[in-house]
This record gives sequence, C-alpha cells and structure tokens, in this order.
Amino acid sequence: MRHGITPELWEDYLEGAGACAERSRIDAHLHDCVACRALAAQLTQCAARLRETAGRYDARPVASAKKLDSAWEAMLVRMSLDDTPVQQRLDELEAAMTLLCGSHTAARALQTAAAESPARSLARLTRENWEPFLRSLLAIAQVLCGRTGARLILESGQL
Amino acid sequence: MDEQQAIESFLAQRDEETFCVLFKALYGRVFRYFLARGTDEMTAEELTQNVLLAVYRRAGEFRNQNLFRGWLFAIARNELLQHWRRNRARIRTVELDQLRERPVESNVAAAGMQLRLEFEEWLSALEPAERELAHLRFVEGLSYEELAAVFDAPSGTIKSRLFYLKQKLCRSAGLEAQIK
Amino acid sequence: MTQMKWITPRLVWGLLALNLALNLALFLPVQLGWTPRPAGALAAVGLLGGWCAYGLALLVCLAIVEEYRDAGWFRWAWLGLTANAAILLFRPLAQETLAEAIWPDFHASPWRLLLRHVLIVAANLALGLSLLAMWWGYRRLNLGFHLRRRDYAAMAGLLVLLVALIGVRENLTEAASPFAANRVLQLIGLALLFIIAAAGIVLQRIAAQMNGGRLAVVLRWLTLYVLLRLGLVVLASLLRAAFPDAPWASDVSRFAWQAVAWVFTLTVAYQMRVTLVAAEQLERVRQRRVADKPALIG
Repeated sequence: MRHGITPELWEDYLEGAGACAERSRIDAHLHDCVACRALAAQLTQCAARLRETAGRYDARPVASAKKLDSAWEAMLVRMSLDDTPVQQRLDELEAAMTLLCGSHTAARALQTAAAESPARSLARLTRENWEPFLRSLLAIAQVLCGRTGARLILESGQL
Repeated sequence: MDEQQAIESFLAQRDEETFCVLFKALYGRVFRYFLARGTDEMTAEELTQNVLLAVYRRAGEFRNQNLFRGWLFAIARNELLQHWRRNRARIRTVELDQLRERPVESNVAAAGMQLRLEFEEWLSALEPAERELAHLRFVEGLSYEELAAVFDAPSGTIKSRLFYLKQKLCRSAGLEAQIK
Repeated sequence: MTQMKWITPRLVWGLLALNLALNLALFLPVQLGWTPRPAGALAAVGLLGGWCAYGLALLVCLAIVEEYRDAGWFRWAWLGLTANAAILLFRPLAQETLAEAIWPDFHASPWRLLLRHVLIVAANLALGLSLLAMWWGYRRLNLGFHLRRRDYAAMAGLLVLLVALIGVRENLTEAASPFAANRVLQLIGLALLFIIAAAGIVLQRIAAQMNGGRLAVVLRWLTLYVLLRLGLVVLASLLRAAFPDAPWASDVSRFAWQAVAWVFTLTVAYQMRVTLVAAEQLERVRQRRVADKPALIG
C-alpha cells in the first residue's frame, strides 16, 4: 500500500473503474502528492503504450482464410470421432488394461501403442489408422497379461 | 457476425453451424495465445484444435456468458500445462536475435513478425506468468472477472498483479526517466 | 488354464492356515511339557506341506508358462519360477527324517547337506534368473517404470547385510563343515539370495508405479516371497547365534520356511487370477457385443 492506496485501488482508478467515493479520495490525494501524481502519470502512459502496441499486435492476421478452412476441416474429422466407436473403444481398452495392469500402466501402454503407430498420438486416432494402433497395443498386452489378456484387448478394441 | 454474437449464438444452439462461426472467430486468438506462450506453430495448431474441441464438447457445462473468454483461456491454459507435463517441455524463451534471423516469406509474415518483436521485446522484462497476464489483458482484452476465471484467483489479486506488472514495464521501458 | 481355476488364493490361504495349525498342534504341547517331541509327525507335516505348496505352485506355473507362450522375456521368467517350484519340491526330502525310508542312514550321510545346498543354489539361481528376465521384460516395454534413490539405498543396505552375514559366517550351518563344496555352495546360495532380494526391490517399485491392477498384486507377493527367503536366512542365523542349544529355534525356522512355500503358491495363484479375470471380462465383452447387434428381421 502506498499512501493509503492499495494496488487494486490504483488499478481501478487508472482504468476508470471503482467506486466514486474512492476515486474522489484518490483525486484529492493526487492533488497534494507529487510522487503519487508522477506514479499515476507513469502508469497511465505505460498502459496507453501497452494498449497501442497490443492493439497493433492484435490487428495482425494470425491465420489466413485458407488456413482457417483447413483447420475447420480437421476439426470436423475430430468432432466426428465423438459419434464413432473410436473414443468408446479407447475407453474400453483403458478400462480393461487398468483392471489387469493398473491405471498408470494402462495410460502408458495406450500412449506407447499410439506413438508407435501411424497415428503418433491418441488424439489423432481415427477409424483409418486404428488397426496398427490396436496391433501395437496387442503386442504390449500379450507380454504383460498373457494370451487371454491379449484376446481381451483384441476383442475390446474391435470397431 | 462479430465475436460476441458468435459466442451467444453458439451457446444458445450448440450445433455444428454455430460452432463453425465461433471456431473461425476464436481460432486466431487461441492460436496466438499458444505462440505467445512459446510453443511452435505445429504444437499451437494441435493445442488450438484441442481447446476448441473441448469448448464444443463442454459447452453444456458453461453457465455465465459474460465469462466465456475467461473459460476459453482457462481451458487453453490447462491444455498447455498438460502438454508440458506430457512432453516435459519448458517455456522456451525465444531469443529476439533468433527471431530476426528467421527468413521472411511474405509481407504479412514480415509485418506480423515486426509487431510481435516490438510487443514481445517489451514484455521480455516480465516473468512468464506476468507475460501471460499482460497478453490476456492487453492483447485479448479480457476483463478482471474473466482473468480471475482463467487464473482461478480473486479479481483483487488480478488487479494487484496488473499494477505491479505495469510498474515493472515502466522501469524496463525507462518511463520513469522520461517522467522525471 | 481353466482346469486350474479351482486353485484359488482362498484355497491356498486355507491350506497355509491348515499347515501352520497342524504344526502348532504338534509343537505347543512339547513346549508346554505335555508330550515328547513327535519328530516323525512334525517331519510328515513339513514334507506334505512342502509338497502340497510347491506341487500346486508347479501345476499353476506350467499353465502360466503356456499362457505366456508368446510373451518373450516373461515366458522365460515364468519358466524360471516353474523350475524354482520343481526344485523346491525335492528339498524337503533332503531335510526330513522321512527320507530315511528311501535312503537308510541318510541323516548321517555327508551327501545330505551337499544335496541340500545344491538344491538351494539351483532354486535360487532359477528364481534369480526369473526375476532378472521379468525386470528386463518390463524395461523393454518402455512403460515409464524407473527406480528411485531410496531403492538404490535399499539395495546398498542389502549389500551391507550380505557383507555382515559373510563376516559372521561361523553362524551359518555349514561354517564348520569339513567339505569345501558345502561351505562354498552355502555362500553362493546366500549371495544369490541377496541378488534376488535386490531384484525384488525393483519389482516392488514397478508394482507401486503401476497404480493398481492385478499384476501389481502378483509382483508384491513375489517381492514378499523373495524378501522372506532372505529374512528367514538372516533370522535362522541370529537364532542359532542367540540360542545354540534350543531345539525350538530350528522348529520355528522350519515352520517359517513352510509358510514361505505357501507364499510362493499364493503368488502364482494371484497370477492365475489375472488370466481368469481377463477371461471373465472377455466373456462380458462378447455378450455385450451380441446384445448390441441389431436383431435380424425376417
């Protein structure tokens, strides 16, 4: 706190917000206090410069129309995964592996299998690249849980 | 349709058509946020997709329309934290010299890079958390309440942080000397 | 594997309790001075208990080896555990006086102790190789299991204990043996036991990092088994040093070893549960898929 004005009150004052009574009090103080007046001017100039710089930064186009269209197409594909069994199968696989090998092992096994498949990550799994992922996971399950565990993973993961 | 209308329209109907409009309105903001936090373009694209998909999936949970952008960037922040945890990545402080040395492919890219340099050069005096706050307040224009939602902190704390942040920027920009 | 499903952890617990109860029923009256020591009966209980424990474990291990037929290093691990069970089936014969029925004057023969130590070293070697294969198998899976500093500290502690035990080896049973082979084999067996205990620490860490699941239960029981084996050797050595003339000391040691045998059986029974649970889940998945299919009209 500086001369009875907290940082929150300063911020409200400089942004033109805050209660009228507090603004009047600060106005009265600034009339008499050279140091606080200088600080207020300093911070006002800083904020103005920030806004000006940020405003020009904001105006710059980050993504072209073509890029936006392409990003939207990719989003449509991902949204469609919500309606297909891919996410459901992932959940089932995770549940099956958690039961047998624990939650950490299950999560790592799924990530490792995805990383070793063309999908590269769980988020990029689709119907098209599901098969290699499942084969990868099957290899892990066979080693950890034996033939029956591997069979469970295989059948749980069928789309 | 402006951004606020796109938000209201999507929250009211929550269908693919309204989401498309919202997606195109918000994509640039979220993408820029991740770039400002030090990710590369490919990662920023992937994380932006994740964030907007989360918005689509979880729109039903959202209650206060006035805090939508706060909610949006809270999701973005969380997504970035999870990305770092998964990849054990750390914030890369992009050296300004490296930025200048990168080849420029188009006028848009050149102009954008210049603007980014100017803004980021000024913010380089701040800690990463302060830079994030400055970006969200001054570039994205989030209100105190929205920022409170993003950082899960009271509005008063956000205001204090902004006050100290500005003081720090003043010192680094030499504004103290100019005033005197 | 399903033929073995009657060998449940509950059954094994029951048999363990029965074995110990029989031992106590024979042992306590002697301590209370009511009856003379029934050496034959105690030996019979020990022999049958050991055969039962390792016999059941052997049957289950063979089924597990078949289950892990395509599992690379884990198959070798279970082969090692099977060998451990098979070798330890014969161990009671080398100790109990009932072996006299097969080999007269066996208890006085120098071959008795040599046979005993050969079996111990062979069993420890099989167990050690098994655990190393298991550890290597987990490492190759690259699932993020890693040791912590406290694990290395525990292993260092084991090494210190081994050195201390060798330092006071005159308390070991073969310290005064006129046969060099017996003395050397006992030391080798002891060293192997410590290596096995260190491998047990690794498996315990893996179990902790799995964060639940049935496999973690198996690894914990396996760790308990290997640590108990080491612990009992140390305990027996201490008892011999502290109570050299007390016959009850060797009886307590014998009962404890019988219990350890059942711990091994429990370990493999829990491993079998992994397969049985997977089979139950598989059945549920199949039934759900059948129920989800649209009904044929016509």
